[in-house]
Amino acid sequence: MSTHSVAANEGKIWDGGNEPFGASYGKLMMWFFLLSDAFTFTALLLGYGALRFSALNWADPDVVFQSAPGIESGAPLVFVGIMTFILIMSSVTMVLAVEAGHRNSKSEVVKWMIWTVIGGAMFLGCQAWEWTHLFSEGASITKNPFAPELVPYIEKFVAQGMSHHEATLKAVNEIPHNYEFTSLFFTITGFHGFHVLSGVVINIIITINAMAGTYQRRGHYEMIEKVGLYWHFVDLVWVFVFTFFYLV
Amino acid sequence: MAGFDTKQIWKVFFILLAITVLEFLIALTPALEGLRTDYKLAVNLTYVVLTLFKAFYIIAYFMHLKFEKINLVYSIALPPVFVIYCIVLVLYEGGYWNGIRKENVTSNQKIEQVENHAPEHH
Repeated sequence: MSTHSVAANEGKIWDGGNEPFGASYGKLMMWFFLLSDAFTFTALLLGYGALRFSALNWADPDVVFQSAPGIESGAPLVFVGIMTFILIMSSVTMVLAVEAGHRNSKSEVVKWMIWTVIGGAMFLGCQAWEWTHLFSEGASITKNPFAPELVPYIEKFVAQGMSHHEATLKAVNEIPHNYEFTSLFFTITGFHGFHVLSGVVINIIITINAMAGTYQRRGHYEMIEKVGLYWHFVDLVWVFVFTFFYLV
Repeated sequence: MAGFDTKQIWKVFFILLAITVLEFLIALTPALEGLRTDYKLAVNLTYVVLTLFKAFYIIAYFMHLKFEKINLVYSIALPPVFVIYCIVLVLYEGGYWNGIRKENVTSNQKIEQVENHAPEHH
């Protein structure tokens, strides 16, 4: 596959012509970028872990994430399950596009890339719904309606004749409380979502390139492979975010 | 090319799906409610191990790292190993803060009790 640049430089191994890692410059740099990006996410999740370990109480994920479109409550983890499935599925279509690229099959690469773009867009749509729903419940980067210390105030406001929703919004706006949970949730899923968005944009660009025959003329589909590495990494990060925010 | 046939890809997909379904079963099966509250640490460690399995399959097969040259495999796979040490340090520190906060809560309660009862003793 990536032997195209080696042949031209044979016999000049100290002139940067050989590939000691058996991978092209671009692919190698993508790997090292992903390694550094992994450390960025590690830092965010480590901060989350330290704060959560130090907290005296924490929001229960089965309570926070119990809604789906059309289901107001009582469906814990169902919606995030759908999101996880969508992202794994789009990882599969991406690797199928890479596989088709190795066979130089332009039509199949384009087909699987379009599915990958659709999967990424669906995931972003799901995340937009999830965030909007949490905002409507009064959550934001500095407000945590799931904080246990707000419960007595919410009950007090409900006793004064407010609906549970109004009471929660009033409590979350007026009573000082610990908002580490929502702050970390929106920061980390937001940072991941931004990676998905970038991935979808890059996927669209290479899909258009593949359609235009750019890689066919180049003689290889290595670009699909490099972008594929990034896309799988986004899936990989989600696997960890899913475990530490929704399960643990 | 090694590791890149359609059968293998779908096999890995079903492994990932099965692990995810298993995680959901552990998290949601009502019969396991007692297990989840009594053995919280063990259940959480199970989630982490299952997550690491998923991470392995994504990196090894989807990202194809298993089939790269061994020096590329080591330069990517070894640095994150040192993260484990960092995780242990940071979580241990978090636990220490937790202890301080608990102490603060109890000592504040004691102060309140003393203040509430003080006039009676005079």
